[in-house]
Amino acid sequence: MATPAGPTPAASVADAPASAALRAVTDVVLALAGEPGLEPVLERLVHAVRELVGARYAALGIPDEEGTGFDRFITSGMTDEQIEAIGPLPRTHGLLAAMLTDPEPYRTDDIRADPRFEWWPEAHPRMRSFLGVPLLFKGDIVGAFYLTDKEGGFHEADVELVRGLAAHAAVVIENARLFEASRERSIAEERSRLARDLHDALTQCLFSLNLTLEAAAAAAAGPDPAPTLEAIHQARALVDAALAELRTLIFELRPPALESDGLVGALRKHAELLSRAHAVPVTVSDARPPGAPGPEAERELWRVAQEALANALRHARASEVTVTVEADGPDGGTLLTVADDGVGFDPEARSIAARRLGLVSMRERIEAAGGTFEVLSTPGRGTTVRASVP
Amino acid sequence: MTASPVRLLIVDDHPVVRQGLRTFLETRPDFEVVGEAGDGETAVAEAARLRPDVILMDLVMPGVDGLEALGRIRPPTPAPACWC
Repeated sequence: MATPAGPTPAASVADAPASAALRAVTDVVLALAGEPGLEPVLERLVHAVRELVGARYAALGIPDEEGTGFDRFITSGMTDEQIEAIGPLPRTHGLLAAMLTDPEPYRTDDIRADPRFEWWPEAHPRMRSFLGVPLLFKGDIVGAFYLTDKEGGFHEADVELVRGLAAHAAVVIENARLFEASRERSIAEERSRLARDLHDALTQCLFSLNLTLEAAAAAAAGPDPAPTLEAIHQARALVDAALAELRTLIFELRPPALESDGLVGALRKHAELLSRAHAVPVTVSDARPPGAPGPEAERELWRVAQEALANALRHARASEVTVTVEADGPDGGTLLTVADDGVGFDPEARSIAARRLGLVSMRERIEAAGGTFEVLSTPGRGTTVRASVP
Repeated sequence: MTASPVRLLIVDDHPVVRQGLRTFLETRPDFEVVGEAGDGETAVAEAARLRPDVILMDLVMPGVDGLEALGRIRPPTPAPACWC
């Protein structure tokens, strides 16, 4: 077979002195450390490994949970058209699978001579030399590098180089996975808060509306029109209340205009809407000298304010709520205070109620941002939530 | 036969729910809503004062919740039925 056409392999770093190889691995790892998402991390890794050893093709496979196929199989050295023509992601069988069960790297000069080699899809490029290196994280195989077609075949130095990168890659992949999992958890948390608010705000109204309409129907059978009219009047008030709640929830779903309005501006808009929906005055005062906290800190304070305000208005039966933003927090940062004169509760009680009020997630948010969080409440004497971020 | 109506105490932290239940139940001649409470604490006091036949109790409420209130209500003889 003639020399295959296509991209020429980059000069191999593995052929350079060991210190240069180490530097190349370090460069790749450092570049990846700043990448937050899993997908770009995987792409950069697979390109880097191909260039490091000078292979014509490289792939990075991550098995799915069942272990019967690949969750991700990212290649380097193939065109999009080639990938399209080859068809679906490979399943974990043959040599690909071997790298997911055996922690030792494997190298051969002719992949087709290996007894574990099975077949290639019609459009798959024909390959010869092969190097497979599993990615190990705490003893578990979390994926594998597959490299093929290096001019002159792969050497022991290539194995060591890829093994070195694989160790770092496994850590980077696990970190990116953790990051994605935590982002997914925040989204899930937001959704469950919305579900809870919908339940608290709307199902109560609609449940009541249903009963009231049934009462109207029952009363309509009687001779006196007054009870029927009274029930219909109540039903209309319930529809109004449900509409107001719905508007508030939709407003809360929209991302706050923190960038354009700033924390205090966004809080003022929110307070105005809540005041109207719940017929309780909500005042916002800004006692900060110029110099706002960073956008991350603002977002965390906003979330806490939103949650604390929802609690004050939905659960505390407050007649007045005040929100204050000050510059002199305990750690010198920005301090947010949300205070109401409602029914209060016992913050020490580890009851269903405390969890429902979202106190745990508020605390976690603020502490993750390096701040401090406290709830001061006594049954019958209102609640004050204080959150400060540096 | 003219049995006396069933005397009810409604316990729920949402005023709209109490109102809806009251409006609905008051259209039935066989029920009489004798009182309402918005939290467990009030429910315990009202149960002792009004001696209802039946308590409609919301279990999940801020402060003293329904379960705790049930534990604190002294059952008279005969005990009221609780429908949670």
